[in-house]
Amino acid sequence: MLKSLIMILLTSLLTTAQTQRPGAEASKSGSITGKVVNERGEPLPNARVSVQAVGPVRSRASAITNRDGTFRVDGMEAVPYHINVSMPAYITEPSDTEEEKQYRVGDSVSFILIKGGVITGTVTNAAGNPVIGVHVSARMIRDSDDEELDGGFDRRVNTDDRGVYRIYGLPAGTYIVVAGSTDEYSEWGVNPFINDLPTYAPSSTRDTAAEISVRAGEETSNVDIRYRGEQGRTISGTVGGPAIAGGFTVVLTSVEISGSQSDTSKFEQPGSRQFAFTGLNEGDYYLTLRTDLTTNEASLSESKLVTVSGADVEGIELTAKPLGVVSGRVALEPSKARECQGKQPPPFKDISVSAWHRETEATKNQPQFIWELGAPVSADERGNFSLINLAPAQYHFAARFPARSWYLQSISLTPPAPAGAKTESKPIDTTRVWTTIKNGARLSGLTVTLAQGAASFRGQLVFDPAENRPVEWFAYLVPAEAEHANNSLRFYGGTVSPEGKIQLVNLAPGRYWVLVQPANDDALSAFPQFRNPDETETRVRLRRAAAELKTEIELKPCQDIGDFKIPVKSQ
Amino acid sequence: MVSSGRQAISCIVLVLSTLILAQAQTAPDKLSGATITGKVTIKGKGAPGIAVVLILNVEGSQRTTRHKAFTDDTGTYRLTNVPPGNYRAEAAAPALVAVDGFRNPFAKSVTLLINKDETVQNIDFELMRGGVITGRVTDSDGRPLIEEKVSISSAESNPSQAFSRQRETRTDDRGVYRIFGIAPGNYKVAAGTNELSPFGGSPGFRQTFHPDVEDAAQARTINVTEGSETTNVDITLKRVDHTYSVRGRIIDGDTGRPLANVSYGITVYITPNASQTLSDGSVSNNTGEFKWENLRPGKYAVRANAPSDSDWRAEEVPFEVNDRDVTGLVVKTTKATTVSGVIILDGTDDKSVLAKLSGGQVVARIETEDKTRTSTYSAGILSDGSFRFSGLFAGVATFGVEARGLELVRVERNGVVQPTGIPIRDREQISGLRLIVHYGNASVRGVLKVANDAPLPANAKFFVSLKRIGEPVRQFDQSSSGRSAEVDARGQFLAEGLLPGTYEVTAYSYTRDEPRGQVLQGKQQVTVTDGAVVNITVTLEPRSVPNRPQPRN
Repeated sequence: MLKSLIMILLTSLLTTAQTQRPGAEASKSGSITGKVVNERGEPLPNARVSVQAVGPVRSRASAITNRDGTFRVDGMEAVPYHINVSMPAYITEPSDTEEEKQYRVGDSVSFILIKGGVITGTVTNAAGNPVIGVHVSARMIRDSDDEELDGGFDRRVNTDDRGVYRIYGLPAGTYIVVAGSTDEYSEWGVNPFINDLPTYAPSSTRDTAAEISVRAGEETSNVDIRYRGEQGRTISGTVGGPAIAGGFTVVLTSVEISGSQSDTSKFEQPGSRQFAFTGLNEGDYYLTLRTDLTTNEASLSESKLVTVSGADVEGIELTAKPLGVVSGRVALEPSKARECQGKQPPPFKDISVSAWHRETEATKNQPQFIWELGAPVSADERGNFSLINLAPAQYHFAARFPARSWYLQSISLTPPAPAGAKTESKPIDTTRVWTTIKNGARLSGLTVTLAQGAASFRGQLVFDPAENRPVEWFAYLVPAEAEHANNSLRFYGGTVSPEGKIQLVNLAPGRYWVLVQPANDDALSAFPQFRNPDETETRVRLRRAAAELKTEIELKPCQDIGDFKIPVKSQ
Repeated sequence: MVSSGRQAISCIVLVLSTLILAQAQTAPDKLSGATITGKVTIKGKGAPGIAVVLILNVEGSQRTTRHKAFTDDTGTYRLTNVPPGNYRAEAAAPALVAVDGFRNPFAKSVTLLINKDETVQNIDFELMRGGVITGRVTDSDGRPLIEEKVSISSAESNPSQAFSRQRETRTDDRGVYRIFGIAPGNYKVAAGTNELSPFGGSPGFRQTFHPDVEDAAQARTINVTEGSETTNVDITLKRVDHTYSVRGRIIDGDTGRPLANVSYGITVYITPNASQTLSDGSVSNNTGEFKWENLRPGKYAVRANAPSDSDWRAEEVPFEVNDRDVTGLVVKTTKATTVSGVIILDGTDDKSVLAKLSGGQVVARIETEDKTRTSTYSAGILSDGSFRFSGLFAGVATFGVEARGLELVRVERNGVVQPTGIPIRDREQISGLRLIVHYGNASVRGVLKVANDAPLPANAKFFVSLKRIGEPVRQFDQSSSGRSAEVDARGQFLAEGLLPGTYEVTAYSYTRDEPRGQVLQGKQQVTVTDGAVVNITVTLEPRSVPNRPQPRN
């Protein structure tokens, strides 16, 4: 969560410089050739090679490796390509870089595929008879570096008529194996094991499940399961409210002791008013009704907490209420400054607006997925936008846009004028005051103002060579002018690269203090929050620390400041 | 450790339950509801440990219930606390097959209309162990082919059996496959496929039948009997050595201008009668060019996909791949015929009825003037009740509305009722059609009886159809051209969503032993009013009909 927030802030503050490879003459066509081998360097025939042009060009081709592991695709336009090599039961070698490698026509390339691990065994019942057609899953709980995983690699098969299962193509790691699923149907008709609680190998619940270590290319056999076949509990009920007729989804959120949540969604066809979740363990669950998201504006019920203990739970009633909508427009304020002439505003359709709920005030004990319904939206050609599906809460807003010489000036909301009033209401600064959104609220008049004249700043941290320094740093620009002391939009920050470089863009002109801080726990909690309306204290703290250092800088409209040296004193 | 964990749980529960109060009632162990009992037998002997699951039919969709029971040592199962409803009971046993697949060839299941608090007995299932076919699929070098498709198909001539007995699986990492629960009969086994691969081109291997022949007629027939296991049904697949590409352009047929960004797809003719079309999201480039790679020799066609809101269409352009790349194909678009209009719901302003419209669809059937060709199109109904067809052929169009409980009663164009269909010329744009529908919510609940109170014959299939008397000559409409109702294991049926009126209810049966015609038939008239449920009994009598009508499915 924290990490994703930082990412969002970073991408909004730094220009995303697209590295476009020049010189893609599409005139000539050519071939890409290559070879696929296994981990011992032996040729791998029958592997699938698919070649896909990078970017919007959908040029692509596929091939299957020959007896000697080689492949060749011809007639390819001279553009960069991604190449994906796969073969069932084999896995690609883990790559160090996250970025997908690009290839060009004329390249001769080679790939390594590694045979994945295998887990196999027999599922029997208490009488020792084979359990036939039951789903068996191998779930990775720790990867090969022993890192804990939540929702890791998961592969599922069925047992055959002898109760035998075989799961292959497993990446190295630690697995648990579980028999049983809540699916309604299996390959042979209705799932005989529906409503059962799952049985973990060897014959246990999740907490005492056997951990099975899998290495690439190796087979772990005799992972047998004595299937318990215990009936799980059921939660059922009825739904009501607007727009149910087009079908609805009930989300069951189970709450782990650690506080983490997992959601199970069930869609019900139009016409239905009933729902049921079967095969449940005893414990606490939230139930939330949601109408179809494809119809644009959805409805949501309040989440109900249900404790399953000793019996099935029936008669839960969920009523959907319409979610909130905030609409508004993007306003552009051009600059008269000479330096800024001719610099283009961002196209409206590239401006994205998002709403962020007040986590401290929102009821903590509710499913977290409801906050994902109100996704960021793009403005239309005229700059209008509409944030929909906002769950009841208090919100503040943010905007992203790809134009270097523009900055976010203000985000304000003009409330509707009271009946009979002659003048318009005064706009409210939403960066200082939270906007309360209730069920079915339809607020309009949110104005996101972008002003021309943004400066950019590139700095280099200069360390005392004698000092032992932390690796990660944050850098901030803090408003030096008193009038902007609590204007959160005048606070800018980013993470410093390992080379000590920092780049901040879309900066409002004015006077700033430069502040760098090691990324310790204090800084980590402040960093993603410094634009939150509640974090006046964080901003005061940042400004006090910056004021002491007195590294002042003045940014003129559309100015690019490069290589600003930031001396780092011992902390 | 354990105790601190417990404490943590109780803390959380306390906090949560004070914040949110769920109006949940836990179900008391009440004795109300229907009870269904029966026996599952294998060779006349009770089969223990078999799950029988109830599936609820709600408005045409099916969903499983929490009602599941296992057979005891005598093979007896007992489902309790069942609320009234329209159900299907299924013996869920993957390795077992129904002994007599005649009544319901697709599953080991029966339909059951359950009334309040009744006890239903003798819902029995007679099963047997199905056969097993297993083997290994390799390439010509003996390497295992992994996740290769393996399918078995019936070698019998009966086409309906051929369809219901088709099964498929995939090989594992050793190239091994194993298909079980196969109904006794004769089968052919094939590995590989002649369809296009989801990656775009022809798959790397040709479809091959055991024992290594490409012609299905030369495939070895495998006889599966009760509990048999046929091993070493191995197949070697040959690689496709050469593949070719096809290129061409998509142009506006009127102006000759290239059309960019048009999605296109390819159709492969697997047999003269069977084809498969694949669109992978590819679009024509700036000069209207399209391209498809990796096609092995065979018959194909390329098509330009017109978006549903577009005003053009294009005919498929066939081509054949022999021993070289195909170039210079031209797909020409023409201005499409469009038909649009709105659904008018007559006789109710109930919002929930209106809501049934969106998600439903309008069906148009177009017959060419010379009556040699009929095509059926469908268009979704939008939330405002509007619909739009594009790319229709010229001919006479008749319409139907497919939405639950709704029945098309007339079609109006410019305020004039069109009783016999609407002529559509090529490239014509027709708008403003009004399709007037009625909502029916009457029901007929019936039971079939045999004269002299004899039991209903076993091994018989029963059919019930309802036809409204005095119904005007009507446009093509799937919901009104004779309704059929499913007959349950006890000879009961339920027809819902009927318009008020008088219906002739016809019931008839077939048995496997008497293939020449229907052996029992009964007729009964019933009048229903709005919202009413009318109970009837239809008595069946022996009848011999020389010309046997085809049963509706």
